[in-house]
Amino acid sequence: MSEQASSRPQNRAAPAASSKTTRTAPAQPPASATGPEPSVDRYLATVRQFKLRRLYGLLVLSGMLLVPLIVIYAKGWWRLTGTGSVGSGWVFVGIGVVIAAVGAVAVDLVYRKEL
Amino acid sequence: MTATTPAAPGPSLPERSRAADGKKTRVGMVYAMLAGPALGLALGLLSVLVTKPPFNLEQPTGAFAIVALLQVPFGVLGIAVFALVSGTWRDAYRLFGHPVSWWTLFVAVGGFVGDLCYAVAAALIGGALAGPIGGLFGVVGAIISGILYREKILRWSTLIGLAGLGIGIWVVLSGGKVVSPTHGIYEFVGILVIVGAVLTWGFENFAIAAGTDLMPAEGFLWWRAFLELIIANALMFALFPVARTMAGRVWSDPKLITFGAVIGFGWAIWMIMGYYIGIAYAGAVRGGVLAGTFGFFFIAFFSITVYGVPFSSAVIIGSVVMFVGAALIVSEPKGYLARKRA
Repeated sequence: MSEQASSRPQNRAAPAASSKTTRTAPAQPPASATGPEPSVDRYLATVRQFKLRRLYGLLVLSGMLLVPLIVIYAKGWWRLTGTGSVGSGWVFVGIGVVIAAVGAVAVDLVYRKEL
Repeated sequence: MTATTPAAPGPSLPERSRAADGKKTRVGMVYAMLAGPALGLALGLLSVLVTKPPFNLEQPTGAFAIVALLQVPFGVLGIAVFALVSGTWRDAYRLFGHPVSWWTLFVAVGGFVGDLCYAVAAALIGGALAGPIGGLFGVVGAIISGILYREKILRWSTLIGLAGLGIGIWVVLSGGKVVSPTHGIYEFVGILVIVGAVLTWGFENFAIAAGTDLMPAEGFLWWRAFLELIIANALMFALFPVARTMAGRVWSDPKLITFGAVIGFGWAIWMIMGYYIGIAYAGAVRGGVLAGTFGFFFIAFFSITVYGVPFSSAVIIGSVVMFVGAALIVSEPKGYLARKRA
């Protein structure tokens, strides 16, 4: 369940009110004198849970990327791509790729921690 | 009698919503940039392999085969695993049979043509040259979205940014003598083909922004990749008999299957994080320009540093100039913002 879908669980792919580029404020439940409505809290809790699930999904996918890179390095198959190829570089680049992608989700978790 | 001091009122819900929207845009730009290296790892390897056996038996069939047999199947597998673990498979399932799913077919056709054009161009001019040019799709998508969404992107910083991109591409092209495997008319045709990819991907960039207004990004993406898998394989096996020989060799060679896993899973990471979430959060202009410029720069960078393509400083310098141009396009000067808010 995505952040976008969870905001309108009753709809099946319902059209949104605004475009991504015009960036108008989305419709929100009315504020009350006692604080946010319970539905807002539910929405925020769902978004928080979804971001963690996104992180788990990315970690599994990153593992799936690193395994073949390690196999290629261990078996020396990297030589197939050319004489100037750097075998250990494949694994290091793979680790760097994973750190960068997971870092983006980590930035999201920290920077938007109120969500 | 003691007077009670009222608690300081916090920001109203609309204010909080606007602040959250701004943060979401900035985070989308971070996603678009940090997923870039994954695309470089994947398509850099594809660009090198497309000129090796069995893909060099016949071109452009070999380029078609590497997309249909390695990149997309492993990409669909990676996206499916991500969807299962993250729970977004429910979104993909809910789209099935809904009228809006026709939009995913439209995007899949555009994405497939772009991917195929990239592989053909990589066989002709190499990934180190095709990468930076291919990254211009973000600008095409920004222009299309700017026109269709009536977003005012025409300001002095955009014009300087576009000039920077032009100069950057000119410098990158001067490195073609070193990094391109072909020269003369073949190199020229390769550049035309990658321009075709830029236009098709540019339209996909806009279509993602429009589609994620209607559908959750990850569920939308799975259908786009899955339909590309069906279309690519059906067309390839129907139209190119040599592809059957190539398919037999690819699927019986553990080396090529392992390389395919790197290409497909790396592509999947970029598609999820950089392309779809980046554009869904930051919009076609900011998300698209950053995903394109960063992701495709890394194809060139990894090609000449890790995958053994001869080093060309022109490619690096040109790409840096392109970064500066892209930064000017996606940033909004303080004076412009103040006028806009007023």
